[in-house]
Amino acid sequence: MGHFVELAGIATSRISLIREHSLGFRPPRALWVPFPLGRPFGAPNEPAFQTEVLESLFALFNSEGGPSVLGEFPKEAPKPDASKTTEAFGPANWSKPTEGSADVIGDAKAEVARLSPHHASWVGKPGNRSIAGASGLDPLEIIDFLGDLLSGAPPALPPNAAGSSPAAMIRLAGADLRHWCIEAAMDSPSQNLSINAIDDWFWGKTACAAFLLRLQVVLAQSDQEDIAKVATAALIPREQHHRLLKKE
Amino acid sequence: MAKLSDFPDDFAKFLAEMKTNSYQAEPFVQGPPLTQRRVAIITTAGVHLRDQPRFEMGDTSYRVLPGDIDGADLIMSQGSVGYDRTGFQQDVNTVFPIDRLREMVRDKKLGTLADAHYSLSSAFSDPLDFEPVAGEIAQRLHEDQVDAVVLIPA
Repeated sequence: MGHFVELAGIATSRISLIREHSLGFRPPRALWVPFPLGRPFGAPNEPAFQTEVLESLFALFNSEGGPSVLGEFPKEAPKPDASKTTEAFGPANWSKPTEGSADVIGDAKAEVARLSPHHASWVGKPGNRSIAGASGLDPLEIIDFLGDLLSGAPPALPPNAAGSSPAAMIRLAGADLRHWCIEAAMDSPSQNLSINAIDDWFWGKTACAAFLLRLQVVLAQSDQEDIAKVATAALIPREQHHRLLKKE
Repeated sequence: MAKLSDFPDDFAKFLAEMKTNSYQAEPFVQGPPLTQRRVAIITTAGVHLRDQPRFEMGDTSYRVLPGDIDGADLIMSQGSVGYDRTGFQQDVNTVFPIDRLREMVRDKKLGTLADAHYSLSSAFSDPLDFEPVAGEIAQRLHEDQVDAVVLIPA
């Protein structure tokens, strides 16, 4: 994109999260940052740090070293200080669901009911908002839509699928369920909002994640190629695949 | 979700070796000092307003984000499940630094911000497929007198 816009006569400067890609593409200007994928400006609620990254990005506009200028941001992103809290991430008194439960759908719905007051509480705080909603479905609707697929039934697209394919809706619904649960869990006494703490809670301690993990195993074997592809590549992060149960 | 170096070796290798196109021409446009520049964001993070169409897999369309947007109104339908979203959940500026840019204009570190910014989704797409829309966006940027674009990935 940067190459095409620069060809049109407009200067560009880009954030690069994967240095190897910038070395290959040779964009006009790129600032490589050592941040987690999905966090191009380092960390949330760190305005001074985010501004520092932006200023480094803008500084490349002053460079005369073209046609490809690659800068490197030297600092790691700030991380929550885990030593400041002894509380585990998640709602107070959270208990891990029963492993290997046969009723993953019922368990997930019960969990949504349990999390709903927490979600309302977190979203209601000043400055907070939910990012769930790209699927157009609420959590219970998501579980109904995806739950039908566990039995091997063909996907029944919800009315607001609006031209999206079943595979696309599966991806969006799975993402929305995860986002919603995590937002609810941020209504937490713990101040440890590290990526690992959040991931460990969702993927290791929730019935909704157990539901998605079970769904992945089933849909990965779908005879519809696009659904199998979404299940394999776009439903569960790769570093969580060790939690997948193998379908007998 | 982590840095490339934190992924399992095979996946890190896969990401690092993903196809990167090279181009015959290597344009490099110079311009005025930053304090005189008009800046727009182009993001490939797949963000959009709730009432805008969601991004599909391999989607090369773009969304126009109004210049006076409230970042809190953005959601994301980008398809890369391995990318962290919890930063975006807590603070939109982790991915779309609109508040930081407005502060930089207020503090006279930048000239002005554009009347519109642009969002695309880079997941599961070949970068070359974006050439037609890049032309459309560039035309809009010219009409808006933008002379500096910050490109932001997911």
